Amino acid sequence: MTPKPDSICQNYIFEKVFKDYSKMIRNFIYSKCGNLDLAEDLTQDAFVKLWNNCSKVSLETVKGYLFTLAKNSFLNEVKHQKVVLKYQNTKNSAQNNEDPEFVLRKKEFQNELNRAINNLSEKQREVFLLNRIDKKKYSEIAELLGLSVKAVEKRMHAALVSLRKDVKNYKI
Amino acid sequence: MEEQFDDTFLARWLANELSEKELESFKGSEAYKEYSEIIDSLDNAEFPSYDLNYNFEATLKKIEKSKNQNHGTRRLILNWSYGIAAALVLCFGYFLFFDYSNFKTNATEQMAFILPDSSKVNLNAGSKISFKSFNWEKNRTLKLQGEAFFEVKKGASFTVNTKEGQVVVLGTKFTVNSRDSLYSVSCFEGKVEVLIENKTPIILNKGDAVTLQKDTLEASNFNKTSPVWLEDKSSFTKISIFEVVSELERQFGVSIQGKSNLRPAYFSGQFSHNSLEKALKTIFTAMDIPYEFKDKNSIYILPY
Repeated sequence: MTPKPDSICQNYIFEKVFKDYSKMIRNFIYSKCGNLDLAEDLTQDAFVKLWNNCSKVSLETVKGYLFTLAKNSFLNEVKHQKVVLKYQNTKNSAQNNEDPEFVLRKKEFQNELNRAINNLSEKQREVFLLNRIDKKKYSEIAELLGLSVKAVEKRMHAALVSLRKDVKNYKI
Repeated sequence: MEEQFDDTFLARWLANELSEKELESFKGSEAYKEYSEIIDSLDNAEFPSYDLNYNFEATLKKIEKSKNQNHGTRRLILNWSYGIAAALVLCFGYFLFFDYSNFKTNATEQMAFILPDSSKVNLNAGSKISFKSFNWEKNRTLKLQGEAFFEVKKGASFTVNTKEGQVVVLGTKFTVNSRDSLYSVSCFEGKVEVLIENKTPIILNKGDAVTLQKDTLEASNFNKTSPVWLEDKSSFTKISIFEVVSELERQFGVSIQGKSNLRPAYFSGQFSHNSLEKALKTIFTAMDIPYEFKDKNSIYILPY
């Protein structure tokens, strides 16, 4: 009954897998739905499923397996809420003695950007955030989402065009 | 403006895949300013913070819950108030998951495994190690019965607990052998601190070993890079014959009776794990100890 030494059924291996991937999965689901509680809930569910199938998944394929679970568990009928990005504002402004009006304008722009990001289609938003926030390369995103690199690039381009148009409309 | 671009232009721009010409003409456009402002604003943007421990614990609770839904046994508790029952079930499950990880070898077995920080352990026959895996990197402590060879990665202090005391290292290779009446620690690399009750701490460097038998501590030197039992041999330097007999039993999975007929003596030498007959000859015949086979797996030491 003892699992093999490097099996995910070993408590400490499972814990390590959780440490390595749970944040990534949670951010991925969050970028799709913008609901933090739901994203964390679904992430936990994915790991529960992993535990229940631990003897069937190897360490080489566990990342792909988790992403597949995450994609499948995401319910499209869930009410879309706003993705809120955290901006590291305080550090910069304190050091640069920036003009307070400039700082305020920067904050307003960021809020506006948040709004525009939420207006993107789910397909564009998830690709865009995975690249800009998670710093994933197009090839990585393509592999995770099961798309071609070209398809990822198209979505990125479309997202940017959309963002610029949306934000521009605001700046009267 | 966008009509000039193909539908992956901006993506390629971000990935620095545009040609010099493409980039130059793009930079001249007003669209460029606006796209840059958008991208620059996101430079320091992050997803909301993630509480790893909180989410891990929440996951464990769900795992325990899903286990209970699959087994009918927990239904007994439903007689109690549901709130208390649920809390108890989750409590126990939580505790069980954080239970100790155990590795055990039987006679004739050896086992190799990796600790959560990638330190390596080789377990000799008839040995057992247990440790709490939760938070291992900060608290590297384990319990050993028997014999193990450790290759410890540099990090927080690493402690091996046996019935005789503790061995503490920072990053090194060493063996700890804790048997019934034999305790010995050998350092293959680095520095090892051996703590035995009622004795001053001993520091071992590479090639140093210390053995405790019958309350007598003896230091020795050796010249190997790893323990001999990893090469399917058992080696002894002035070790009590009783311990040698126990090691014979462990390595071959046989039972040796008539131990009370043994006269106290110390043995130096080694036997290979390949042949029981050869090993018995090396040990018993060399020391003039008469024996006979009762059956394939059981040997009897005759009075002498």
